[in-house]
Amino acid sequence: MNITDSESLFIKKTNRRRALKTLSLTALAAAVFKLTPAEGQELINSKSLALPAFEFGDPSLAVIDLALNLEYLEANFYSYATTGMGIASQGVDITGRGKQGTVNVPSTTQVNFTNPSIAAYAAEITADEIAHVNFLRAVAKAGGHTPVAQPSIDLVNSFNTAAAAAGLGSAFNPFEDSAGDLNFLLGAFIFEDVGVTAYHGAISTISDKIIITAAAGIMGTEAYHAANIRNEIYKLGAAAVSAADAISIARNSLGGEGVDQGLQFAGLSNLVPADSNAIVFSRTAQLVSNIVYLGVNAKKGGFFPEGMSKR
Amino acid sequence: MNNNDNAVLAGKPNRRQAMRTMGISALGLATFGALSAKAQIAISASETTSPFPVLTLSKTDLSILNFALNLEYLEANYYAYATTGFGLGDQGVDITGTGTQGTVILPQGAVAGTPLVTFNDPAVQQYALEITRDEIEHVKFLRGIILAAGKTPVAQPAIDLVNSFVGAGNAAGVSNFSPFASSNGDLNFLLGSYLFEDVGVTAYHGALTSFSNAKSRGAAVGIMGTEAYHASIIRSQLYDLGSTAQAYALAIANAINTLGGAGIAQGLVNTSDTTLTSNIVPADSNAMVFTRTTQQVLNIVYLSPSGAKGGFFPNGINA
Repeated sequence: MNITDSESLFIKKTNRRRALKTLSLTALAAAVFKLTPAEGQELINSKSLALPAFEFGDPSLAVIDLALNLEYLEANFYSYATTGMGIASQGVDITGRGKQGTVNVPSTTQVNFTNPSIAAYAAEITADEIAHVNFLRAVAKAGGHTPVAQPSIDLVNSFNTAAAAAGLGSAFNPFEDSAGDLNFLLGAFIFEDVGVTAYHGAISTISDKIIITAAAGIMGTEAYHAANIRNEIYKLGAAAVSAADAISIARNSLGGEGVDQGLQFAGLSNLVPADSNAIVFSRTAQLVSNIVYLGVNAKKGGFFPEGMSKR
Repeated sequence: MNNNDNAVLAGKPNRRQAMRTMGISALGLATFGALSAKAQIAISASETTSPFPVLTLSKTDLSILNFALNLEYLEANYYAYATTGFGLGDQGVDITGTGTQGTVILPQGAVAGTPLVTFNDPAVQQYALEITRDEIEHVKFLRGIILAAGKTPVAQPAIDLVNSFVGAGNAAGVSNFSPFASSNGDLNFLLGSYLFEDVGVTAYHGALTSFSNAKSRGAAVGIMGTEAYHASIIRSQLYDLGSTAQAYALAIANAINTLGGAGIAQGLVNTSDTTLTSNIVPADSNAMVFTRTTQQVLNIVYLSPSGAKGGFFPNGINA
C-alpha cells in the first residue's frame, strides 16, 4: 500500500455520512485503509501493519486507549439522551481489554427535546460518537491490539457531583427535560470542550503521521460539536450562560487553570474557548483524568467509578 | 453607543486580545440589543502581544505556514470589512512581507469604517465579531511565529471580495451574489462565511502530515481547532434558518466539490440516513473531518478547476 503524505487514508469519498449501526470490521478496515474488504480482513488477521506497529506502552496506543474511554462516555451519554438506551444495546461492540462495565443512568433518559434543531444535533452527535468508538476500536485492532472494553460509567452521581462542584446545587440530571433542553445541553457541555482539548493535547505526544491525522480528524469533529452546544446554550440567554460559566470555572479548578472559558466575555460571545492567539487549548491526559474523575490526581470516580479501562 | 468600548474588549493575558480598533457597544446579557451599525476606529495603544514560541522552521514548514497565512489574510479581511468596515491594514496589522502586496477589492460604495454588513440578528453579529477577532489573531500568530523563527512571512496578496463571490454564486445558481447584501437578513453573510470556513479546516488538516517539526504541526492543529468551531457556528446558524438556507448551502457545497475534491464539501442536511436530519459536521463515515491537499484548496479559492489564479486571489497567493 503506497501512502503519500498528501493523501489521507481516512477520506471515504462518499457524499454523505451514513449512520453506523452494526459495522463489519472488515468494512471499517477497508474504509480506514482504503483496502478491499478482503485485504482488510487479511490485515486484521495477520496483525501486521502497514499501520503503525505500535507496541505496548507506545504513546500512540495510550492515546487510542484514552480516546476510546472518553468516546465510550460521550457516546453513551448521547445515546441514552436520544434513544433511551446505551451503545451496547445499539449493537456496538464494547468488549475488550480491562474490566467491562455497565452504565448507571436514571430510570428515564430519553430527552423530549423542545427545539427540533437541538433534537437533530443530538441525533447527529450520537451517530458521530458511536462512529468514533467503532473507529478507535478498529484502529487498535488493526494495530494488533485488543481495544479496551467499556468501563463502568456513571451518568447519575457524576452529574450531581459536577453540579455541586460548580455551585449549581446538589443534584443535576441532564436527561431531565421538563424545563426544556438546557439540562441536556449543560450535560453535553461538560464533555465537549474537554474532548477537543484532550485530542489536541494527545496529538503533540505522538509522531505517527497516520494516528496524528486520525486524531486531528476526530478533534475537528469534536470541535464542531462543542461549538454547536456552546452556541445553543448561548442562545438560551443569561441564566444558561451563567450555568455554563459555573461549569467552566469548576473545570478550571480540576483540569488546568485558564484552559477553560465560559460562553461570554466582556459582554460579547465567546463561543470559541481559545488563547490570545485564537488557538484552542490542550490538556494532558492527567488533566483530562482530573475532570472525568472529578478529582485532582484521582485514579477513579466521577464518570468512571472504577476508573478508565487500562490494558 | 458607548464610546468607551475599547475597554470592554480588552482582555486578560490568557484571554483573547482586544480588537483594538473596534468601538462596539457592549451587549446586555439578558437580551440581545441591536448593535450600532457603525463602528468607530479608535487610535490604538501599543498592544501587549504574547511572546511567540521560537520554532525551527524547515523550508517545508515555512511554506505551509505561509500558505496558511494567505488564507488567513483572506478570511480576516472578509470578516473585518464585514463587521467593522476596516481591513487588516487599517486595523494596524502588519501585512508586509515577501511576494507582491495587494489591496482588497470591495463593493462599490463601501465607506471606510462602515461595516459592510448590516446585521439582522444581534447574536450573528456577535459571532461575526468574535470570528473577526480570531482571524486577525491567526494572521498575527502566523506572522509572529515565522518572524520569531528568523524567517519572513508573505505579504497580503491582492484579494477580491466582489467578483469572487459573484463567480462562486454563479456556480451555485445564484446571480450577483454578495455576502454583504443585507436584503435577506443575515443569510448572505452566513453563506459567504460558509464558503470559507470548512475549507480552512480541511486545509489545516491536510497539511499536518507534511510538517517536519512537531511544534510547527502543533500550531496548525490549534488553529484548525478554532476554525472548526467557527465553521460549526456558521453551519448551525444557516441550518436554523430553514430549508431555503439549506438549499443554498447545498448548492455551494456541490459547486465547491467540482473544484476541491468530490464529496468533501457537504450540505447541512443529511440526505442518506433517514434517522438523521442535520449535518452540521461535514465528515466521513468514521465521523472524522476531511483533509484537502494544497492544490484542492487553491482550486477552491481561485475558483478554478485547473488551479489558475483568480477568484479570491486575482494575482494568486504569495509564496
